[in-house]
This record gives sequence, structure tokens and C-alpha cells, in this order.
Amino acid sequence: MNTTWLLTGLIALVAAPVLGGLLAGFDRILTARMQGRVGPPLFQPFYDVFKLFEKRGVSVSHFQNFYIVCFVLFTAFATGLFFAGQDLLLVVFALTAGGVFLVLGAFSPNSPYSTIGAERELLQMLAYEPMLLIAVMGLYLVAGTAIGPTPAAPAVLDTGKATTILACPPGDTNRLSASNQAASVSSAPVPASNTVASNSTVAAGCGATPCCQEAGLPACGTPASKTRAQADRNFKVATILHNARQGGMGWRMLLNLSGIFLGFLFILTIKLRKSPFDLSTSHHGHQEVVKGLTTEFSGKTLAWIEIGHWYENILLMGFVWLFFSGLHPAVAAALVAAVYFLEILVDNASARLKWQTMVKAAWIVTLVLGVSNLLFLFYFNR
Amino acid sequence: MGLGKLSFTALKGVFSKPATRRYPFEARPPIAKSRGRIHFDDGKCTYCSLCELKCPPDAIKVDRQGRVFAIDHLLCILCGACVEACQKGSLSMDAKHGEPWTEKQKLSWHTEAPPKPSGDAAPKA
Amino acid sequence: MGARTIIPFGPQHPVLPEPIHLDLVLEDEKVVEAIPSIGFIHRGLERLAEKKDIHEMAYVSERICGICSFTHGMGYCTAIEAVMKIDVPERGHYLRMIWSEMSRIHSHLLWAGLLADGFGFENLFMQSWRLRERILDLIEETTGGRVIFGSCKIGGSRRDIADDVMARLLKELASLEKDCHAITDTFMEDSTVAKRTRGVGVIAPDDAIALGAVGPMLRASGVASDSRSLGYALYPELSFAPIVEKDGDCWARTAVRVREIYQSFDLIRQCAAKMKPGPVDVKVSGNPSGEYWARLEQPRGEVIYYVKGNGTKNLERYRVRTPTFANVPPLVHMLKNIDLADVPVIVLTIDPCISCTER
Repeated sequence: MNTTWLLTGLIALVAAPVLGGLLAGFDRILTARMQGRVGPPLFQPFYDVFKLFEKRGVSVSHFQNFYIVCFVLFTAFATGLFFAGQDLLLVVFALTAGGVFLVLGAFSPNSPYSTIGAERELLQMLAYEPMLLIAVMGLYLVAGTAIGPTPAAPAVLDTGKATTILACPPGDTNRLSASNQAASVSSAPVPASNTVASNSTVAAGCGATPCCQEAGLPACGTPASKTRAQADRNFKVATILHNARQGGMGWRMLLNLSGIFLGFLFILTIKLRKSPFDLSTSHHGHQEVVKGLTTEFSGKTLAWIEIGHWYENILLMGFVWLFFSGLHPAVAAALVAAVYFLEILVDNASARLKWQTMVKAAWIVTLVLGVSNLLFLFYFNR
Repeated sequence: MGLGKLSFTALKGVFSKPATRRYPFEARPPIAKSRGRIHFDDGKCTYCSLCELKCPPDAIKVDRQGRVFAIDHLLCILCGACVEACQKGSLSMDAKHGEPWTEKQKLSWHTEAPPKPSGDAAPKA
Repeated sequence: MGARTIIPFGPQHPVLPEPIHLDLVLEDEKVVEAIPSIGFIHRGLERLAEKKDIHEMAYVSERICGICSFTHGMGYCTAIEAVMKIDVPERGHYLRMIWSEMSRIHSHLLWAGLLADGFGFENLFMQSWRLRERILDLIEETTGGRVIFGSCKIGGSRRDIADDVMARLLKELASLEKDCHAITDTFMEDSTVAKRTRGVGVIAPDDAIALGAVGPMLRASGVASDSRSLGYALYPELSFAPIVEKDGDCWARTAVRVREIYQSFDLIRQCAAKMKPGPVDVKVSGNPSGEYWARLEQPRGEVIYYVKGNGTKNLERYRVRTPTFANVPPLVHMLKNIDLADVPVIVLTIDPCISCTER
């Protein structure tokens, strides 16, 4: 079981850039068609990247390329963690760390366009980061709490890994994973009805209120679930996926998270670097800042940035999947595709806005949709 | 006021034929009256040099004694003044555009003095 | 206040179709000052008047610009005809007006696309240029050229439009006009576009006049000034009124041009209805002697042609004052105390044509 997750993570590390490149290819064809053009071949992004690898690298400052290596590593690391079913908070922070390295890389050459691009990228992070965290919290509140049998192996093994090897997420995760371990240890002597040992707390908790197993979240708002809630909450992708499916959440999950989901769609536009928020750099953000963030990168480094973005995009699509994870996988896949299509459509139906508007709009959306949804989950859905 | 005013057009684009074509592989048929390229028919030319006189960018050079007509297509602005000036109908406007060239060259024709319908069209650099 | 940065904007900048250089003095992302410099593509076309005879000069004049080429040829011919007292036949005038209005539609659509690109709306850019291709096809069908018409000469028009072609032209123009609405509605009503154009780069009527703004730039500030009202060619025969907007911001300038597209469609229809069969040109002999100022309305605004003949086949002096040249001082005025993000939008709303300006 744990090796399965590990394997998924490793496969994701290899497959994400391939899928990301294909996604970029589809994106370019679809965008072209929306603009009434024929568009490039599907594999054009790969051709571009291969060509960039052939080119002579020119760098202005020594650190520039080092930062980009860090950016790609962190982004790939975040993607790998995500698909290995690991802690969602850690994924988000690794992704942010990657983003910060990209900004550092853009700051280092001292070019005016690059500097402005880097500043704008920071503003973008300022705009989307709160909503990203709220999304993580929302997912955790809805599905992070064990409902059915928890997938035991990844929970125990991976928490161990997260605490010992990585040790970088905030104390929250440590505490949680510690409590997880405690739970699994304490549960050992209890004869559980399940074959999997570590979820016995859940089993015990649910024994008191048997309705929990079937009824899913809303029915669990009883005092009986309190102990269970303290013990078995975690931010793991594996847990969320498992609970969403096993708990039979279906559309209810999306419904409970509707505000957060809409807010997430909003910041997804920023994350995917699409109009109206393609401020810092993009394939066509040339009008104001020439190439912004990536102005001073060329050759191999630029190719790596591109690959980093492919990782990022696949990770984001995976994130979107989490919202639909209660549904049948085919339906979820169709919905993720629909979300991406929507993003392309928005890209092709709006002008680029200014950063002031972006920050304002993103925070208003975060406050109105994100925070209110979160409060609802806290007070009415527990 | 409204958001996404262009989204309908964008969606329509997904389901209809694109407006562009893959140019070198599929070219558009030329529009009938298009000024594509000056065509010279050396059989009819009397080397009167009226065209040379009328040519604004001096792209045409005619040697009356040597009976040589030369045109530099890269200088030609395709105004059609020479076609209008030609009395013998040896110059005409071709609606099809010329092939791209990789190096500069002047095309010239020469016919022998007696009326010979089959001239040796020998383009030389 | 942050430290000042100087951002070089142009002469080669992705948003600029033509080379103009602006040194933007920034404080953070606020532009404090813009210092323009021009002179990158001076070609000395006016001097050519001494080498090319007056008839050949019509072609040279057309090549001042690649977008409003027809009006340049027409302005030159109008000036020479006034000096030589040539009466152009009625049909010749109508043909000229049709082509100059077609070139206005083509120029405004091209500009619309560039502006859309300026505020980062790639789809709108592509859609505008897609429609522009259709008007270019019509121009090619009637004149043989797509951007250089080569159809205007001293004494009239070099080509005629046959009746069947005319009927097809009007039909195609009607369908084009219908299709334009999807694009122009987006320019006028889309919220994201409005966010980028409304209240940006405002210039008051008094400032616009004092700084010498011309064309849509001036009309967007509420000054009804359209050189077509001066009555060159046969414009007095047509019914039209200068299009005026009040706000004086980028949105108003867009609105003026968008409405002018539809006005041009209307003017072409009026011309077609009033045209009678007849000669399109008169024979011209002799050389000009004397001088004349011709004022025409280009898509970009008022353009002035000065010709001075001395009785030889070459002009003694030929001078063009193009609308962009007149619109650069208002541009510099507008570029103060704005965001860097607004610079491309404001630069584009004057519809800069640097090739014209430097000739």
C-alpha cells in the first residue's frame, strides 16, 4: 500500500512534465481555435523546449540559474508529494518556496523589466496565497477528517517520513502527525472490526455513532465525533481522496466547498498565468514588461522554467481534482477538463487587468467566498 | 457593461473552421485583379522603351539597339504603369505572386532583330 | 517614494508596431516623466520630389505610410490638382472617397487589434485582424493591392470599379458591418476592457487644442474637428457629422474610432448610391507652378500637404505634416503620473504611425 503511493509519486515526477507539455499543447491549439487560428501542432511545446535546450545559455548573474534549478526542484518536489498522497500543506508550501526561488532568480539580473516582473510575481503570490491556504483548510475540514476506514499504511508511514525527513512544515502538521502516530499506537490493542490496524480509533468512534460511517459529514456533527475529530484529522491528499470516495461524499463535497471552489477557480487564473491576471510573465505578456519575470533567462534555463510550469500546472489540475474527488473518476476527470477549458475561455474573453485590481479582487473573493465558506464549515458543518 | 463579451465569439471559434490557413502548404487562389507580378511576353516586344520611361522606380531597363528587356522584380512596385504604357501588349499583370527569392537577380530577355516569335528566354543573374 | 528607474520603452518594444523611443522615468510603477525621441526610420521621401517627376511622386507619396497609404496619395494629388487647376471628374472623386473610407475601416480595425494587444486581450486582437483581412480582400479585389492601392493619380483615378464588382463589394461590406458588432461591442461594453481604458490618459479639450491634437484624439475630447467637413473631394455631397465623444480618455478615443468604422460603411454606401457612370480621370499635361496647402482627414487625423511647383516637372518643395507628429505632444502630456501598465494603452490610443511622422 505505502509503496503504491510512493510509486505514484515517482511516476508523477516523470509523467507530470509530459502531461504538462501535452496540456500546454492542447491549450495552445484550443486558444488558437478560439482566436480563429489554426494553431501549432500538439507537440509544439516539446519542440520549443527541445530547441531551447539546444541553445547557448547566456546568463547575466551567476546565481540566476541556480535559483531556477531550485524553482524546478521545489515545484517537482511539490508535485511528487502531492501525487504520493502526502500532506497538502507541505505541498502548498513547497510550491510557494519554488515560486519564491523563481522570483529571486528574476531579481538577480538587475534588469528593469525583470525586476518589475519579479515584483508583480510577488504581488500575484500575495493575491493567491491566502485563497490557496483556505482551499487546503476547506478540503481538510470536509474530507480531512476520517469518515470511513482511513487508508492506514500511507498515513502512518508517510507521517513518519514527513516528520523525520522533511521536518519543514509548520508545527501544525507535526502535531497532527504525532497525534496520528499516537492514535495508531494506542489503537493497537483494541480489537478492531477492520483488518487495518491503525484506523481503529475511527472504528471505535464510529462504534458510538454508527450512523457516521454511512451518513458522511453532516450527520457527524454530534459530540460523539469529537474524540475522533481530534485524533484522525490530517491534511493528507491520501486521506482526502479516501474519505471523499469511501465516505460517498459525491456532489455534497463540492456543495459544501462551493464558495472555496469558486474562489479557487479565481486564483487558478492567476496561478495558470492567464488573462486577466497574466501580469508578471506569460507567453503573451509582452505589452508592458516585455517578458517580465523571464526576460533575462535564455536557453536551457528558460527550458527548465517551462518544465517547472508544466509541473505546476499538473499539480494545480490535481488540486482541482480534489474538489471533485467524491465523484466517479470519469466524471471528475471531465470536470477537471471543463475547468481548464473554462480557464482558456476566460483567458480569451478578458483584457489584462492591473495589479491593483488583481490584489483587490483576489482578496475580496478570498474574503467573501473563501472565509465565509470556511466559517460555515467551522460552525455549521462540524 | 458586462464580463466576457467575447466569449461567444471564442466559443464559436472552437466549433467552426479557422480563418487562417497553413500557408506554404495550402495557398489561397489569387484574386482576379490582384497585382501580383509583371509578366513579360518577349514575342510581342518591339523594344520601344516606353515602359522604361514610365517606370517610377526605374526597375525596367530596355536596350533599344541590343534589343534587351530587363526587369528587376525586387525594385518593381507593381504600380502597373508599364502595362498601361505598353502599346504591343507584351507586358501584363499576373495575378499570382512571384516565388520568393533567396538572392538578388535581374531577369532579362533578348530577341534577335528580325521578327522571331520564339525568343530565347534566358534569365540570367 | 521609491528610487527612480528609467525604463527604455522602444524603439524596439513588442507592443510598438513602429519604432519610437520613450524614456520612462518610473517611481515604482508610476511614470513620472516620459521623454520621447524619434528619428529611427527617416527615409527622406520629401527630398525625392526633386528626383521623381510629379506623376511618379504620387506613388512615392503613397509609400509614406503602409496603413493610410491611400489618403497620402490622394492628399498629394489633391494638392497638385489645386495648383494645376485640374477638375477631377465626379466619378473619380467618388472612387477616391470609397477607397479612402475603405482604408479608414482597415486602419481602424488594425488599430483596434493593436490596442487590444496593448491591454493584453489577445483574442480581441486576432478577431479584429481577422475582420481586417476581409476588408483587405475587398481592397485587393478593387485596386489589386492590399495596403498600397496605387489607384490615385493626378487627374483622377487609375482604376474604375465595375458595377458587378460594386454590387458584390456592397454586399460583402454589409456582412462585414454586421460581423464588426461582436468586436466593437467588446471594446465598448466589456468590463475588463473598460477597466483598462476608462479614465485612463484623460486630456481636457483646452489641453488638446493647446497641444495641437488632431483627429480622433481631438474629437474624443469633445472638439468637433473633422477635415472632411472642409469639403475636399466631394465630401460636401455626403451627409455626415464629425463623431465626438466627451470624456477625453482612452475609452472615448476608442469609441470615436469604433463609431467612425460604422460611419465609413455608411459613407461608402452613400458614395455608391450617388455614383454615376462616366470618366474617372482627365488627361493632365504641363507642370505645376505655384503652391498649395491641402488638408485631408486621415484615419489618424488631419494631415497637411504642402506642394510648391516652379514650372518644371519636379516639385521645388514637398512637405507633409502627419497627424502622429501633431499627436506626440499630447501623448507626452498624457504619459505623466500614470501606471506603467497604462503606457502601452495610452501610446496606442493616439494611433501612432511613426513611418508617417518621419517619412
